[in-house]
Amino acid sequence: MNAGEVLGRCIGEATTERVQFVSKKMPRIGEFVILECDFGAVLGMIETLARGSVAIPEDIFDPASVEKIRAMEGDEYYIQGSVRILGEVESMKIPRTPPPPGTRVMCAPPVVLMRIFGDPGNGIRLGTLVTQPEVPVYVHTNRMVTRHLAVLAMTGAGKSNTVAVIADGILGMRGTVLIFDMHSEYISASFTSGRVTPMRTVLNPKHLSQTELAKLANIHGERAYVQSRYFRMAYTTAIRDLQENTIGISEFFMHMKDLLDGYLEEERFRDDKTAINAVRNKIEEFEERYEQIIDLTGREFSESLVPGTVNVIDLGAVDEDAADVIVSHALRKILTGRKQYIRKREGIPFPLLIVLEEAHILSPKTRSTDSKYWISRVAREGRKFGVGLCLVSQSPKSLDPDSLSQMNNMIISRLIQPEDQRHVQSASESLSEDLLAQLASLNIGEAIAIGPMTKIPALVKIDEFRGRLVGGDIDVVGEWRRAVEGREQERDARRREIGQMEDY
Amino acid sequence: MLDIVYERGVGSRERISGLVRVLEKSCPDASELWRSDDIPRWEHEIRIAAVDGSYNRLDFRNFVLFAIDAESVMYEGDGIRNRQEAVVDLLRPYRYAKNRLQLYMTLLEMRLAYLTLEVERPDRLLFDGSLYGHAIRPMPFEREISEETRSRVMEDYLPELQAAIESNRAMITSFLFFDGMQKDFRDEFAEAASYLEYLERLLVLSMLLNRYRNSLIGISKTAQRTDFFNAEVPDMAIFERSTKGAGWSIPVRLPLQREAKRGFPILDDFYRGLDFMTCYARLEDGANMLRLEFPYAIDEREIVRNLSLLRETSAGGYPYLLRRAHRDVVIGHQDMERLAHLFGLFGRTGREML
Repeated sequence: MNAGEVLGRCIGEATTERVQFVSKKMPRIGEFVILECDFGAVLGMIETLARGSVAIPEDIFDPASVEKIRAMEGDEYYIQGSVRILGEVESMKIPRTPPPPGTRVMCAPPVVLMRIFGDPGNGIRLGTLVTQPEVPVYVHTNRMVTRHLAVLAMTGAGKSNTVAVIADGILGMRGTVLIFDMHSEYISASFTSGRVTPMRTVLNPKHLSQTELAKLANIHGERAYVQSRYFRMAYTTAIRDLQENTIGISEFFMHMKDLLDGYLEEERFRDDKTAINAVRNKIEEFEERYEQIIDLTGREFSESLVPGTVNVIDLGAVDEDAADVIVSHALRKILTGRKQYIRKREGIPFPLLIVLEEAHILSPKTRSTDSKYWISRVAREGRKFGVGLCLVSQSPKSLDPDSLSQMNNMIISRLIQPEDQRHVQSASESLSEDLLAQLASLNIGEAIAIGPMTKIPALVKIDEFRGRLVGGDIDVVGEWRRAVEGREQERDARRREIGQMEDY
Repeated sequence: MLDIVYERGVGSRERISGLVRVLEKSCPDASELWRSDDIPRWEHEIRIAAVDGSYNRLDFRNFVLFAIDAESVMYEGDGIRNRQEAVVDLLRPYRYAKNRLQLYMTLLEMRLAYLTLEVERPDRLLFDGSLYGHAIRPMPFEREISEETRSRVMEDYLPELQAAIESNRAMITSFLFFDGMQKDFRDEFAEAASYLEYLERLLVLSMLLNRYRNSLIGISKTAQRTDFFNAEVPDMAIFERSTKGAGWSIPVRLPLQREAKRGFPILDDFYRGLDFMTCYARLEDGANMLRLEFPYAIDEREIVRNLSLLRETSAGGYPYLLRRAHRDVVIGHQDMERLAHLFGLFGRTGREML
C-alpha cells in the first residue's frame, strides 16, 4: 500500500480504542493507518483482517459450484478489519471522541512513522516495521533498562538474535550487559560495537552465604534440619577462623570437615552421629561435583564486571541447582553493589542490563528458587538503581507470573501454544486480544514490541545480528556425514599403513 | 411448547406413521415422464439475467411500514451487472396487507425485468416463481368489491393508469392515484385501490409477456401444482421421489382456460390466448428438483437447450443469478427496524409484552 492511499472507510460503532473498517484493498496485519477524523488525524494499527466474498459463502459444498460462481462473479471480495487506535498523530494521546462512521482509513505516511519509531536519539535499533520496511524501529534504552524487558518466543523464533541485537545496541552506547549464558551461546560471540568479557563461572565459598553454600551441598533446611544445624555450626566456625586468619582459604572445606569430625567425638552430639556423617559426606560430594567451579581464591563476582562490555557467565556446564545459586548470588551482589554506589559511591559504579536466559528454569511458576526471589527483588527495586532485567524464555507458561508481570517491556515473537499466549497476555496490559492472536502467525525474526520503550506497539522485523553467535540448530545430517567420512578416512589410512608395512 | 403437544404427538404416532406410509405407497410412478439423459454443455455465448424481489413489513398499531425491493442481475461472460429498485412507504389501507405487499413486489419485479430486457437484451431472463400464477391469481378483496366500484375504477382511473405505466412515471403506478381515490371512494377506498393494483398487475404482466415471453423462464424451488399426476401430493414431490440424478420431465401445458374461467376484467383475449408450459428438472446429480415454467409453447428440444444454459450458469443445481439476486434483496427484520428508526417510528407494535 502506498502512503496516503485510502484503504477503506470506518463502519459500525467505533470507540476511542477500536474501530471497524471495510476495504476493497488488501492491507496487512500490523500496518499503521491514519484515520481522518473530524477532530484531526488519528494513528491506528490494523489488528484483525478478514477477507470474504458474499458470493462464496461457507455453505457451499461443491468446489465445482465455487468455480462457476468465480467464473461469473470474478475475484470479487471484501476486506473487513479492526483498527486499534493508538493516539492522535500530533500528541499521541488517545482521542476523547471516537472516529465518526465513514471516516477514511489511509495508509500512514512514513514521515509520521519515522517520527514515532525512527528517532535514534537514546535508542537502540531493533529492526524495521514488518509492514513498512523503510521505517526503522528504535526503542528507548533508558525505558527498556529501567522498566525491564521480557523476550519471549518459541524455540527457533529468534530469541538469541533479539538479545544479541539489543546487547550490540547497548554496546554501541557504551553500556554494560551481563548475560547468564545457559547454552554457551554468547561466551564466544563477537559483537560489532564492543567486546565480550567472559566471566569465570566460579564460586568462592568465602563470598557465598551459608544458605547458598548449604544448597549447593544439597542440605535443605526444611527437609534436613539436623544436618542443617551441624552444617551451620561448622560453616560459622570456619568462616570466623578464615576471617581471623586462623586458617587459609585453601583449608576452608578441610577445616569444616575437621570440625564435623570433632563433633562426632563429642558426647553431647552422640545421638546425631548419622546426621553429622551425612553433612561430612555431602561436603565431600560437593567438592567433587563442583570441583570445576569452586575457586577458593576467586574474586568477588561484582568486582569482575567490566563496564562497556557484554559480560558473559557461561552456565552451559553447570546443573540447575548450581545455576540457581550462581544467578541468585550474582543478582544479590549486583543489587547490593548498585545500592551501595548510589548511597555511598562504593560498589558497582555503572548501570547494567542483566539477561537471564531460560528464565522459566530460574524463576519457575511452580516451585520456589533463590533466583526467583532475587529476580523479583531486582524487578521491583532495580529501576531506582539502574539494574535492568531481561528475562528470556521459550515457555512463558512455566515462568513465574509475578516476575513476568514486572517486565513492563516485551518483545514477543512466535508463540503457538494458547497457554503461553494467555500467560503473556495476563502479564501485559498493552497486549490486546487481537494482537495476541497474531503471535502464532509471526514469521521467524518478527516480533511484537510493546511497553514504555516504544511509544506505541509495533510489529517489528528484528534486524539480523551482524556479529557472530555460537549456537543455533546443529546440521545433524552434515555431522553424520562428516563422522562417517572421518571413520572411512581413518580406516583407509590404517589400510595404507598396513599395506606399507607388508611391503616393507 | 406445552407438554401436551408432545403427548398428543406420541398418542398419534401409529396413525401418522401409517398415513405417511400410505401416502408414499400411493405415489405414482414418474419414471415414464422422466428423461435421465445427460444435459449437454452450453457451447454458445451466454447472455442471461435473473430477477428477484423481497418485502417485509413492520406492523404498528395504526399503520404498517413496508419496504419492497427487487434486483435484476445480468451476466454476459465478462461479469455481473445489476439493477435495483425499492419502495418504502406506509400501507394504505391496512387490510389484506400480505396479499397487497406480495402484489407490489411482483410489480416491482416485473417492471425491473422489463427494463432489464429492454436495456440489457439477455437471451433468457429467469423469474423467481410462477408467471402463470401472477396471471391467474385473483385479487385481494375479490368478493368484496362491488360491480359499481369496479366500473368506476375502470372508467375513471384505468386510462390514466395505462398512460402512466406506458410513460414509466413510477415503479408502482397505482400509488399515484391514491389521494384522488380516497376522496372518490371514501369507505370503499381499500377495495377500489386494491382493484386498481390488480389491473396494474395485469397491464404490466401483459407488457412483459407481449414483448418478451420467449425470453422468460419461471423457476420454482417449491411448487404445489399437480398438473402432471393430479394426485394428492404435488408433482414436484413425485418427481423428486421417483427419479434420481440429473434429468428433466417432458413438458405439459398449463390449463389456463380452465383455471381462469371467470375471465380477466381487461386484456381477456390476450390472457386467454397465452400458452404456458411447465416441466421439472434436476440440473445436477444430487441437486434439488426445480419447476420450470415457460409462457409459450415449447418442445423438448428447446427445453434441453434451456437446461444446458441453466446448468452452465448454476451452482449446486440452482441458477446462480437467482441465488445472487435473492441474497441481495432479502429485507430482514433488523433492516425494518433501522428504517423505522430512520423515520422516528418508535411507536408500540403491540407485541412488546411478548
